[in-house]
Amino acid sequence: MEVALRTNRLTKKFAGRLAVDSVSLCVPARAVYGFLGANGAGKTTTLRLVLGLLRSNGGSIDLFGKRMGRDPLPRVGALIETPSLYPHLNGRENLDITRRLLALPATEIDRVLDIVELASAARQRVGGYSLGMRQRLAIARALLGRPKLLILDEPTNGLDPEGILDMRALIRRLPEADGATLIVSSHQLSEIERVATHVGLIHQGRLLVQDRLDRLLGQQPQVEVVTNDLMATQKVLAGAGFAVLDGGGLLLVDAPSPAEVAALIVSRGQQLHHLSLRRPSLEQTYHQAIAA
Amino acid sequence: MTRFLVTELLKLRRSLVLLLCATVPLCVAVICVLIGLETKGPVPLDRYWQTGAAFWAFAMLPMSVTALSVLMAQMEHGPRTWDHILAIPGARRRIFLAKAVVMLALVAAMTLLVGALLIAGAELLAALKPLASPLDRAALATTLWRMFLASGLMCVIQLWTALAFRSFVPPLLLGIMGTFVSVAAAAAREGAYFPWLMPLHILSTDPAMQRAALEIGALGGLAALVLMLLHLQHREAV
Repeated sequence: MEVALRTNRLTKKFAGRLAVDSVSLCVPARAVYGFLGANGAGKTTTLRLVLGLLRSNGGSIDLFGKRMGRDPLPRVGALIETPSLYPHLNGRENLDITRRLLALPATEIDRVLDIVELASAARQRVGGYSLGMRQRLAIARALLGRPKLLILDEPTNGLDPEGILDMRALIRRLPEADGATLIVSSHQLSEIERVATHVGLIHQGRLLVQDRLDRLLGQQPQVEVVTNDLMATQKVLAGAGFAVLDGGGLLLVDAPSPAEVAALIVSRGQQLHHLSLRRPSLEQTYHQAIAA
Repeated sequence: MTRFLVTELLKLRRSLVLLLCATVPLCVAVICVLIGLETKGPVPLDRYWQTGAAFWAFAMLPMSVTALSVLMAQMEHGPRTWDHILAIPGARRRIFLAKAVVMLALVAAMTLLVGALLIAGAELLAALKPLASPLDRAALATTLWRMFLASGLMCVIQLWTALAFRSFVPPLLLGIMGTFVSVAAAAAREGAYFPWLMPLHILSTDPAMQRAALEIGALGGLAALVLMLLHLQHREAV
């Protein structure tokens, strides 16, 4: 597996307080890596370290196998927290500043404007843009030069529902469009669940869990059961060694196979009204990881 | 380096910086022309241009440098564009150097404009009133050029402060205090070593004071520029 970004025990202190505590990220190439955590968990600080905006107190950063020194590494595009744009310039002029700094051809501007679907508004002053348009322009700027790694920090912050849908579609489209690896940080778990292929959970500066999303959510499936006599069914299943929870009008059974549960209930002569496999949401997984 | 200079110039489009650069020299020239028109009898153009140069060096240049440095730095601090620029490989030192070069170029352009507008004002006065003495254009140009060189240290200190602090208050305070102290200490001999007074001391009748202001202002400005680059390129963008 090719690794786009690997951090090894990355540590950052602010005034003696550990903001990032031995974080070892492993982001596979061409993945959409959801970097999750509450506000203040250490997501932005970690990403700022990766971008070279902050200096670490320990650990290392490797990008596509190359160790990062004092200078930022090339081929990384980023949108950190807020879209930092020049409001007195128009969209095209904002992109032109970065294009020149990166010594790219002028055609790059049209290419990235097309990707974020902002070509028609490119000659308007950025000061008059909506937040969604600014986010898209900042992403377009991050895409200049076809970066191999794209870091989007809270890209849906402050967006209206339509803007969130557009952003989600854009994030899904980017790895295919440019073959890029994406790190999307957010505190909105449901958003990450919709777009990510891999997930890392950070809490109080420490990386708690890191895995492929499908593997993470598939680890502890539960079976939802409704029968004619829930109390009797609960006894039967508990007697057979299953962990059973009262879900309020239904039972939640920790079991890898629904068929096994169904067979047991029917064999005891109970009427099975409903049975389905329920995978835990990312939110449940997140809270379990924090509780653990 | 060229592309960094070009981008700094492109950022000035539609900003208040260019307005500032145009209006301040105009103010100096207009005031000098009005004083000339109010003069009873023939107008002494040697005093006319020296008054203009003194206005420029004493008040308008320090205040313009304060405003210019704050505007240029806030262009980045305000929308937090450092987060983007400083993540570009190899950009750190060159972006700060480009800012300093562009700011010094703008101060030079303003100084040039002061000279050009004072010459235009002298032509206007010559058309309206009799003259007591002709305009010594070479002396005017030399004095303004030396004032610009002597302002180097002040320019770099102001820009350094403006770039180092996200808030515009510290550089503004520094500029106000610098201008105030130069008003209060204009006559003091120690003023020759005060960066905000160095441009004014180019008008001094004491050649040693003139030389000190010129050398410390220009060479001190270069030294301060090197220190500024060393400091800012290693700073974290928090």
